[in-house]
Amino acid sequence: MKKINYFHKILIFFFIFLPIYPHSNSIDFRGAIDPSLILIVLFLIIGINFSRVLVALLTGIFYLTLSDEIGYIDFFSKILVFILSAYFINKYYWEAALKDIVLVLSILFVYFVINLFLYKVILHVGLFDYLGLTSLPFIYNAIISIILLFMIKYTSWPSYPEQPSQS
Amino acid sequence: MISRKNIKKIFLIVLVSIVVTIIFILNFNFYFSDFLISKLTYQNSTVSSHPSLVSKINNLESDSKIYESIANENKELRELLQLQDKSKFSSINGEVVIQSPIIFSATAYVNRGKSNGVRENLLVISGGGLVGKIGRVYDNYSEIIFPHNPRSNLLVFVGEKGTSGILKGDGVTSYIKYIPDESKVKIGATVYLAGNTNADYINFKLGEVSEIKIHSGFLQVKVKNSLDPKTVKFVSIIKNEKN
Repeated sequence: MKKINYFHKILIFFFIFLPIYPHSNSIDFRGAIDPSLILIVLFLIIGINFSRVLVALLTGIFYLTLSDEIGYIDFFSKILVFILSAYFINKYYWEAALKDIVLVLSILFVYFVINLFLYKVILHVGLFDYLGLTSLPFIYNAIISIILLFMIKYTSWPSYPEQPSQS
Repeated sequence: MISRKNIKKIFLIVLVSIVVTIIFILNFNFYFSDFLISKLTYQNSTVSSHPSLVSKINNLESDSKIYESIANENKELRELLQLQDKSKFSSINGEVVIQSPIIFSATAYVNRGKSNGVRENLLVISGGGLVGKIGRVYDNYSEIIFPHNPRSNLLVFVGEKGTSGILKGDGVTSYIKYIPDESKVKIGATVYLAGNTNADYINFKLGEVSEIKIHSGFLQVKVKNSLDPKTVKFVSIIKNEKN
């Protein structure tokens, strides 16, 4: 499991809270980015523990309180994606950078497919209307998830082991 | 009891939050991005030999970005003002302050509530078009329901003859429903907003008909509207008729 340092924690804090203020100049691409979804994707790939699940859950609940009834569909599909992905990652996944990217895309794809199914059954939306709304957010969320994943998982502060010195 | 380590952590988080808030409030992020661009990008020797010119250009660029954002705000406010002058209705102006950042979000909050005279079901517009209508109302803020929200129902008129229909959201987009299929609605026809009280209000244009389907004996009409409610900052809540 990859550790998250203080710098990342502070960034995650702002990443969660800034986008709720429209026009805050945060990385939300005019509402196309969903930080709770990106956090779920990130935590699933870098490894989950109790505190990470709690952060993702609280973020989801926080966004749900700002939304209306439609938020329940979104919340439910995020939980479902989380459980499904956690199960399959635990069982079948092995580490590699390229597979991480494929995994990000797969998790997002599953999320949007579950949402499509729920919207189709509950609200009878048209497939092309749905694709029109979700195609751009899919791309943006994938890009941001991959960038953040590489920032957290594949970069770290340089640390050198102490050299024994002779006096 | 909070341990000393945790106090240190909380203090650090609060400190960083304050600094970042100040940065955003004072638009320092523009200066910061320009600073990074100027320091991290390649510069040729002619330009880099005049550091004073370079810093002047950077300052001008960041200033122009700030002016651009102010000009956009100004434009939005002017459009609202024009709308208010032309309208037969009085309105309450407000600013969208909070929005759920989920992708399927269909609501936002405006900083005007019961204390400002806002009531449920009032229409919310901006210079660019229809933003939605008021949902729940609290003392100092209220909820805006966007047209694509399944809770949204609005009476609209289509075309020159003013065929009436209901603009209803389905969670992803909105359609005008309940127009009898014998109605002569054509693609490109203008869609107007109908008032809550009387037909005087129909001068507010919503968009144009872009698609017509027949569904269970009724026409289902899609409206092409250039305004994305998620991007609106300043809104006008239509209150009642002007005296």
